[in-house]
Amino acid sequence: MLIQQIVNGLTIGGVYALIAMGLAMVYGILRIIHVAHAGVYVVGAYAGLYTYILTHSFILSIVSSMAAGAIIGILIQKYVYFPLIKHSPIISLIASIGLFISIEESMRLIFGPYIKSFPKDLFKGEYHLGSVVIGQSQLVVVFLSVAAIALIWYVTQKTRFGLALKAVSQDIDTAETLSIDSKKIISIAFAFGSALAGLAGLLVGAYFNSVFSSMGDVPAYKALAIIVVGGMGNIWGAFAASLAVGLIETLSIGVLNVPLPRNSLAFIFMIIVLLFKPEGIAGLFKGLGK
Amino acid sequence: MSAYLITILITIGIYIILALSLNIIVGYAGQISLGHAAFWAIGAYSFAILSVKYSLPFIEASVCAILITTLIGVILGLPSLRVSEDFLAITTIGINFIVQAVFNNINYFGGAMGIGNIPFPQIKGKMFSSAQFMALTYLFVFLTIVISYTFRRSWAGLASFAVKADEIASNVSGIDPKRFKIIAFAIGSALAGLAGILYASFMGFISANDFSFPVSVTILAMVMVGGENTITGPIFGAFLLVLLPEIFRPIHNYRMLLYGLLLVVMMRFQPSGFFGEKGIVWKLIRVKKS
Repeated sequence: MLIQQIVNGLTIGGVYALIAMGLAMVYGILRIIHVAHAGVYVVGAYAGLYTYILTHSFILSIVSSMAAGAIIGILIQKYVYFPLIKHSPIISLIASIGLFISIEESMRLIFGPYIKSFPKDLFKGEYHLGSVVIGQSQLVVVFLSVAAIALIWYVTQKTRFGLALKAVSQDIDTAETLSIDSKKIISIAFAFGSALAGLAGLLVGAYFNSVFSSMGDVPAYKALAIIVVGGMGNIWGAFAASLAVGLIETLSIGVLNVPLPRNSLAFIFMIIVLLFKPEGIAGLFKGLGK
Repeated sequence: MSAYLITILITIGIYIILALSLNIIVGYAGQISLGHAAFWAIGAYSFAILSVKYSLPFIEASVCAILITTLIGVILGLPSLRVSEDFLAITTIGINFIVQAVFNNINYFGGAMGIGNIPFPQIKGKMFSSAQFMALTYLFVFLTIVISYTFRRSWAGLASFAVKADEIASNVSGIDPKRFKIIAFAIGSALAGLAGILYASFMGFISANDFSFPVSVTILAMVMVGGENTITGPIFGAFLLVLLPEIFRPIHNYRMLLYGLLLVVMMRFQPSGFFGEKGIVWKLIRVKKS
């Protein structure tokens, strides 16, 4: 029972990580609280769902959800965030909340207010490991999350782009003098982070077998709590915090029977962490770099 | 006056108090707060519990409710002194979610059923009429405007502006930033508590969902769209954002989309709001003069 809950908690944590790491990456370079990231997630879920209904190929729906996410992300970055970069952060925060509402409402108006589900042949069957039951959908979610996180690790730690991204997030002006095209780097980072959010949308939609226009509401604010715990701009802090929040939620509801609703637990955890470590848990992950 | 019109005007009055009180925290002291509805809720709930469960008369219950809200506002403001502005924005979102969860899940606060039968104010044993209640509301609106205006001109107000402009420089000039942030939080939450009393007493019934996070966003949007750091701005913002949904009632399906787009377009092209320093209204008036 306990092991089952831990497995479920880590599955959810892995999906949170996909959303939160992209969000942390965006915050790291532009210092914008990107609430609309969850809007990208909703768009990704719808894109993946409709691709699957049309083609019955899960690979293609992965590609289309990531592509849709990347396109929306670049548009947001180019036409809303970049022009606001010199204003105070509260301006882009409000703009981001407005964008989030607009995206969700557009999805509701285009695709209707009802919960949509995947065709029945998507995932079936489950595997038994001793007393632990793992559904096929859960396996796919875990596998893809791990693959995406490995990709993030490779891109940020091992490529020239990752190095340039690090430079831009530390100091845009200095990076420019070193002939790094910061605009291009920021666009690519945005596209990358948003593609991951699109993928996360598809995975959550497939895992719970439901896609609806307001599915981004909870991730929008929970991902913010997660990146605060992780130290805002720190991608690996966000990763660790995601797994922690996934575990805490599942264990406190499933094992400890805490009477508070699931979605407020992340914020309680956040405030407890802030009281003891105002900089987030980022300091614990210095070795992994920013 | 029709009952509909009176209800709208009282709602606008309550939102003017909320927007002006948030303006003291955001516009004057420069502290981003996305959890103002939480303090509104604390005011409303403490008034409701004191007058329903402990049958305190209107004035005594109101005074106690304002004191409780101020105290909690200062206590919840304290951790925010430790964190920088982006952390603060997310921490206040967290406070909003937690306060709502507590009111919604603990039976002492009525739980999911909320609290009903909250008394209307009385004079000499006679209940207020709606028109008298409206007069009372606008008396408090006037009081809030006076407080906002006095605060702007006072030493504490000037010190807050200095902290907002440059925290380190103000600290070097012998201003303790923490002290003035706390003062701003105290005044802001006291006035939010006042708005809570008016709301609870006017509606007669409150539940935790009346004070959810999107309400906080709306209050902040009133301040920012109207123009932060002004007095006309938040008043105008409250009128605009209460009246727009009423005007757009015939096309209510598109209401939220329009609201989202309004936020994006205003912040993108008019970041200082309608009545802000470089706001569109002043620009139009100046062009006419020359």
